[in-house]
Amino acid sequence: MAFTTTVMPTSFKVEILKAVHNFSTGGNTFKLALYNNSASFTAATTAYTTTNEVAASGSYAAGGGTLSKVTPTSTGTTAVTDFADLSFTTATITAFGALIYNDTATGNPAVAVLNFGGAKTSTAGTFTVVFPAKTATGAIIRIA
Amino acid sequence: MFDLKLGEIHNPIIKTSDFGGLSCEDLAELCTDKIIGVAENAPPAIREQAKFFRERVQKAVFEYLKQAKRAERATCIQICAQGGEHDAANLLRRV
Repeated sequence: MAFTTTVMPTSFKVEILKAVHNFSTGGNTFKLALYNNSASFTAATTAYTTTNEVAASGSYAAGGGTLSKVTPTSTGTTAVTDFADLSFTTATITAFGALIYNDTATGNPAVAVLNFGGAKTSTAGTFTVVFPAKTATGAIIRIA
Repeated sequence: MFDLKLGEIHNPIIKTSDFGGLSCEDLAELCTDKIIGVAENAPPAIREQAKFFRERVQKAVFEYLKQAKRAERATCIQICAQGGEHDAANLLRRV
């Protein structure tokens, strides 16, 4: 299997209606974990898994890095939220994609599957995930 | 009936480096992307002006990032020298 898609898990959509996730400052802790090309996440993915996660290196530890949240706001009639860019330093990593998940909620439920479009590698260097600008058409999580 | 729609997720941009941190060029580009977005559907004249402005901002950010790097390195050299770590200080001077 391989990383083939960037997708919002169906379970996340249900969990929004159940108030499982709190993106506000002081709300839940969200993390981003990196994966190799054997990971096979789809819309049916429901939670974080250690299977096929890249090995710890530099500032990257098992479970991934904690994301800094940007409090949800509205742009026009669209609600948006965002995360600050996340960097792992002095890290030797090859990743094909990532999973954003809620580290506070029971069972570490999945929020988003991110496909990097191929292998991204850092060697004893910096590995940075850059999130799209927080706009009505670009923000990582938007509800229109 | 209300139709709440979760927007399609865009692929993130990944920046990597080998044997050190990101370059000033990479950081300046990331910083400018956060400050200025140019809509592809904007009127051509406005789009061109915005792109020109974006380039100017990126150049300015790049120059100040280089200065920040030099300033930080100078501080590190002084910390090493004052701590008696002259070899480390000389190593940093050659960077």
